[in-house]
Amino acid sequence: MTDRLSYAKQKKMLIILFLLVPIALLAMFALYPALYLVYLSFMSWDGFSPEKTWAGVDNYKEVFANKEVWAAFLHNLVYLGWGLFQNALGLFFALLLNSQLKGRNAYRVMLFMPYIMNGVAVAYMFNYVFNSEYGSFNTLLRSVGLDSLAISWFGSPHAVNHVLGFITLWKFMGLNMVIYLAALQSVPSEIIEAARMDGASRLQMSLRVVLLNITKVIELNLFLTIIGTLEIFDLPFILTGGGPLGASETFLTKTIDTAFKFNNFGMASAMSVTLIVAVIVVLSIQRFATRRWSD
Amino acid sequence: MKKNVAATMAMALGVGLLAGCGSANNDDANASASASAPAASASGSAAASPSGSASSGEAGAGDLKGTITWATHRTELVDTDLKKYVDAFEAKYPGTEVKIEGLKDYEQTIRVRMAANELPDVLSLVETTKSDLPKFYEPLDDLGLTDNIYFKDYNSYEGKLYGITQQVAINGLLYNKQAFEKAGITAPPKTLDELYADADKLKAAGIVPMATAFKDAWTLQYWTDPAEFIYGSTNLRNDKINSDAPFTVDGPYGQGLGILKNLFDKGELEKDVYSATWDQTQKDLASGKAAMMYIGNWAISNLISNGLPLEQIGFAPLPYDNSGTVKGMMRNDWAYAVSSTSKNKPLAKAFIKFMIEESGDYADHMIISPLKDQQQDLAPIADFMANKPEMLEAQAPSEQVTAVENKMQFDTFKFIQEVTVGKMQTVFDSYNKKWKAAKAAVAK
Repeated sequence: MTDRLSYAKQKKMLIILFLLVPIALLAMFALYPALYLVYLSFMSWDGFSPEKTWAGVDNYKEVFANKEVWAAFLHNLVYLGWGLFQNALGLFFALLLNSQLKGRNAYRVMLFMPYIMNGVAVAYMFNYVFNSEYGSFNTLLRSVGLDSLAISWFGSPHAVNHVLGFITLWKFMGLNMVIYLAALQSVPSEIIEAARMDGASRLQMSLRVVLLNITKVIELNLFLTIIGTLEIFDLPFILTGGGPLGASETFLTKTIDTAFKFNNFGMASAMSVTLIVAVIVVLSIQRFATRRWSD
Repeated sequence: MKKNVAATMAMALGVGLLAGCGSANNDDANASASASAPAASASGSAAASPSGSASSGEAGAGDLKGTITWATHRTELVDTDLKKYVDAFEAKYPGTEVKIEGLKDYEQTIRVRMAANELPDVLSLVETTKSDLPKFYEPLDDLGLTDNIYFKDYNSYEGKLYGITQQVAINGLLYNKQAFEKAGITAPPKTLDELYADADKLKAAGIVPMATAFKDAWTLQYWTDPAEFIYGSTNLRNDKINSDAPFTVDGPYGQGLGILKNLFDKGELEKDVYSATWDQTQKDLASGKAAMMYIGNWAISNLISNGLPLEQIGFAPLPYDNSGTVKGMMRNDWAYAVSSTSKNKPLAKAFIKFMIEESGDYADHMIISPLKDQQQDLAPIADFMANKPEMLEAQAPSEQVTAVENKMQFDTFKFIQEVTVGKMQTVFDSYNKKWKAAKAAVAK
């Protein structure tokens, strides 16, 4: 039978057959839930009862009218600030470790290690580091006489988001660094050699030759960072539970509370959809801002 | 490369098939369980005849067969004490099997299963609106316990009982007698002024007067009790519905929560409340670093396991004014319930009856049985009762109040935290505003 079909047809059939399974899996575990989420965002549902009632855009109205939700979104911006710093730091270390530094492999491993660690383990670890009474950080501060700086890190509404932002930096900087490192090593050596022969200093070489060659990767890293910071969830959830007094609530912890604590799945779904839209908007802005670099 | 893709797909397919097998097996198990159900249910209704509550369990004993699943939130006891109770039950009724399932994230897990209509046979009841109770749970009136239990109205709807609280918790002032002695205090405070005076003495002695586990926040929820003492009944929460501004500084909420706030303002809670956790608080209370805590009697066993001997543990009613009369609050806990979709209801019910009446759970864990005729004779609880407090029974929030509270996203824990550390009037104003708006929205 097969020899009656043309080669092109056989190829097509094969492609369809091979694609069937992944597409079915994708549809089942990603597309269907996503569409269901959008559907739920227009319904009023408590999460367990069999009946759902049509709510129209009420859920969305409520999301946009709720000041606390947007206050939580502002907390995400603190993480974004730390995320940008994290990228700069990652790039700095990548430039440093791309040189002929002694023991650079050991440094690379050390800096990348936090990323491999489990998020919950990291959270617990920093819980001990930043504990106000017997935490190692405050013990250090006190031992060098900086008692006034040894505050309750997770307890101060002003400090808490920055502490959490710092922990994300510590954890994800290694990932950024490794991606930058890979990009740096793919910069053609001819260009670098040419620049060196032209008498470029190390700083000039970094800024005017190397960086321009890796803009695409910088963009990618920013993309990952922005998504990560807008969707930050595990650290505040485990470490502070949104406290003190809601000072470290993020958009996602708020969404979870809306769904599971206040049994309002409709509004929580609307919040999730809003987050997706917000991510798209922020990423478009980023695309727009960085497009000029690559030209 | 292509090989890899093929291999991945094969794996994906394989996983899919395996998953399919798994669910098919489950179905078989359910089917066999349901096959034995009709015979058993006949005996169940026989047992329901009010011929005496103690004997009815044994009457049906011969016919109780099969397997049930018991989902519990008491994860730390699953492999030890709970296993012991299940073994005793299976020994009493040969041919039965109870599978224990300890769920760490209990409430959320069960809610998901509720939506999927896959509740385990016996479980700790997860609260729904009252009218939804019959949808998910089976009436338990035929156990013959209805008139002998505390909190029979809490999980009832239209005269039928859907859940029996697994224990009764009495809230009181739990204190370390050694710490009191060190500060020169001989007896627990009887009036509010005495409470404040004692707190001052403790602070002067370098002891944390009142522990709260403020960061964990759930431990704070009991501090609404004084507000209800002052109001005179546990209707306080439900009566909110009659007002557009239920939170007032000179009303029950302001006065009741004012006790905690006063202690906070004088620096008589933990030094850094924002890092005070329940784990640490238990240790501090046991070691005498902290002296008092307002919490349920069940915490007595926590102190013992942290090394404080029973005779050093004091338990007394919390004074809420200077009249000298005291009140005590009884709260319910998670309730035993049987799923309405259970395939083996008689066995599930017999198991609940066994757990409440015969398991020994209450003596083992020094907690109070929901059965009115079973006294807990533990010394601290006897001391508490010697004060002759007027006991109040907590009430289920009404459907309307729950709806408004969910609408305004009212978080009791956070509310109490904010009142304690913030300016009471400002906090109340913002909550009143939200309450009014949410109430109007729900009424629409």
